[in-house]
Amino acid sequence: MTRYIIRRLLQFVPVVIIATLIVYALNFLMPGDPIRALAGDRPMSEAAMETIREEYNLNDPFLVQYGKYVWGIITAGDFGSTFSGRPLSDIIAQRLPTTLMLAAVTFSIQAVIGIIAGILAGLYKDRFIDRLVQVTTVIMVALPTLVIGFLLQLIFGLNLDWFPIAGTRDGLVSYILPGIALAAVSTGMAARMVRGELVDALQSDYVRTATAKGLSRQRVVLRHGLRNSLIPVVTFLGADLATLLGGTMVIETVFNIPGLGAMIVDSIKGQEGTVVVGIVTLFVLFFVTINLIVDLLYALLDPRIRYE
Amino acid sequence: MDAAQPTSRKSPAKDETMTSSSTAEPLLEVRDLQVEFRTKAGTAQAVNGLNVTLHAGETLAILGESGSGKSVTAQAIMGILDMPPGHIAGGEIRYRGEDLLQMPAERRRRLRGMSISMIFQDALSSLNPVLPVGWQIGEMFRVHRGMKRREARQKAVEMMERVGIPAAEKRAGDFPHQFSGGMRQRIMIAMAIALDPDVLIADEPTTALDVTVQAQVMRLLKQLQEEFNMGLILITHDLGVVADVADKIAVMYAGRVMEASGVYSIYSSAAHPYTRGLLASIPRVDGADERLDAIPGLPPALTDMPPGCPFSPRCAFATDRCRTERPELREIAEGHTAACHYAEDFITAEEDPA
Ligand SMILES: Nc1ncnc2c1ncn2[C@@H]1O[C@H](COP(=O)(O)OP(=O)(O)O)[C@@H](O)[C@H]1O
Ligand code: SF4
Ligand SMILES: [Mg+2]
Repeated sequence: MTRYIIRRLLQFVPVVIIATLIVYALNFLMPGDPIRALAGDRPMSEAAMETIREEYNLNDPFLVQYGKYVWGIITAGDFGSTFSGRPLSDIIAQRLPTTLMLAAVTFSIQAVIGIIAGILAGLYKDRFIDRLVQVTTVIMVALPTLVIGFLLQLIFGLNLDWFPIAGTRDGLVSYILPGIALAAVSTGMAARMVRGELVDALQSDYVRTATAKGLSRQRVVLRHGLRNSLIPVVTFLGADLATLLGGTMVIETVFNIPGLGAMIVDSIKGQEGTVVVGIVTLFVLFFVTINLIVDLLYALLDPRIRYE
Repeated sequence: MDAAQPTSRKSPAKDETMTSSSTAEPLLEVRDLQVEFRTKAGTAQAVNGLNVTLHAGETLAILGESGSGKSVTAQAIMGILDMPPGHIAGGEIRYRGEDLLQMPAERRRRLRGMSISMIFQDALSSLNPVLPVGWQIGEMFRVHRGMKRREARQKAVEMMERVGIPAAEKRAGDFPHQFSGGMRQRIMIAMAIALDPDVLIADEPTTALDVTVQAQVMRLLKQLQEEFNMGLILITHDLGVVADVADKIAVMYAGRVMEASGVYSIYSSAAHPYTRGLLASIPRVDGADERLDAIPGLPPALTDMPPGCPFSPRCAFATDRCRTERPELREIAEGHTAACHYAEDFITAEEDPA
């Protein structure tokens, strides 16, 4: 186990470096000249532009720029600043809780609804509840997140007026519709996955052995069937939590939620490369860390991985 | 009709069991068991009126080609058939005189693992991959005996030692995939005999193992059976194994017993053409290059059984009578039954020149 952990940690470092490097390169792929964008419509002297280049390390070779950038993040939490001079770390501190809240609501829906629906479908295979789950999840997986978001706003926001459709003024309730929209695809996938795994497990040789041991049906299902069927879904949901941040860009915009995802979209529109790169770098770090945790968790749950 | 009583015993210890068992009530009596599988292709009659009897300390070998219904029989006795598609269409399975099929589910569950237990062919897939083996053995003590975790673990280690697993104390926390095939099967055995059951069903326990390990595991099973005075049902398609361990034998074909007798009569005077075919198919140890002389043809489709003798399409001696009239299992000599119209002729034909 220790060797496995060390190996995974050693893999973690190059992955972080390569991923953040690629994101950093985005700076140079953004259309337009960042310094001219910074100046807006005002004319700017060559000397002033040079000062700015110096300040933003723009005269250094690419890798040195990157190195200084990463060093700033690690040592001082310094993600650079916006055109208006506001440190990006301030913005992150202000907006991160909103996005994390959305992520938490989304993840809870995926995990709880996805797993429960999957278990019910698997236990009552080919019965009504199974059919219901199968049909519903196909629809959930097939519809684009954006469409689900609009539909939810229309039905539960405008028509029924059960939930707010924009902003975060109402606290937790405000996150429910965007959370459902963001969770839909993965909830459907998680449910189908749990169902499939559970159906397989319940037909497996070791569950037959558990029955032959004279255990109660409940114990056979919970201790022997379910435990194994949930291992893959833990990995799936974990990996999904990591990609979920990408989805916040769409949903925060649709539901007008002032989080980091919406910030990325705004900054792309405003050509604020530093902001885009800063937040995306944060997302990437989050993604890679979650994946590491998921891998370790997987090894903890499945001894066959641990001892490979 | 009854499966045969044993006609010969091997050890004095066994003679004692024999005397007590022939007077005592049998441990297990399967009467006219019928198991069907309802599938899209139709109703497959996997077991058709099967009869076997087992006494304490006795080893009954069930032999037959693959697909003849051996595992289904075992699963029906254990009460672990896949239902659906499986379905018990008739018959009785009496354990100490009481019909398991009529018993309340909860009572029957308690008997499983405690009084009747089973080991399977593939120990790797039959053990839970994500639970330590000691935990899996200990579960027997916790569930059936209400023991605490630590006590159960101690018992599990004792059982592991008993089946010959080296460094049992240390290895109880290991997982199934960390053991060799033979050791895994020993763990299955430890789990099955943990609560000192009366009946042990072993469904091809050595088929998945290396030849050298096969013999060790068989020896262990035999030794434990004598120690615990269990009734052992040994399912196999390997006639070679049977001679060493079984007291009596039932040969199955298409869900029926075709012939049953004490183990020696099978070798000395097999009456049924199917049994003779199986005997001829044992690969010989002395002639390594000798071809395995399997019976030509395939078993009948279980969804569409021929009206007469199920073996008639493959039988070299089949007559018109065989194709229309189904031979019942009947006694052809003391303790020797066979389901063939001409069973007596085959025996005499063999014994005459001798
Ligand atoms: N789960 C099942 N579903 C459908 N048919 C089955 C099932 N299990 C067994 N059968 C049928 O029962 C027959 C006998 O199987 P089995 O008892 O496993 O044979 P064997 O003698 O090789 O152990 C098979 O040929 C198959 O047609
Ligand atoms: S009854 Fe006829 S077909 Fe069946 S085994 Fe005997 S001789 Fe062969
Ligand atoms: Mg079988």
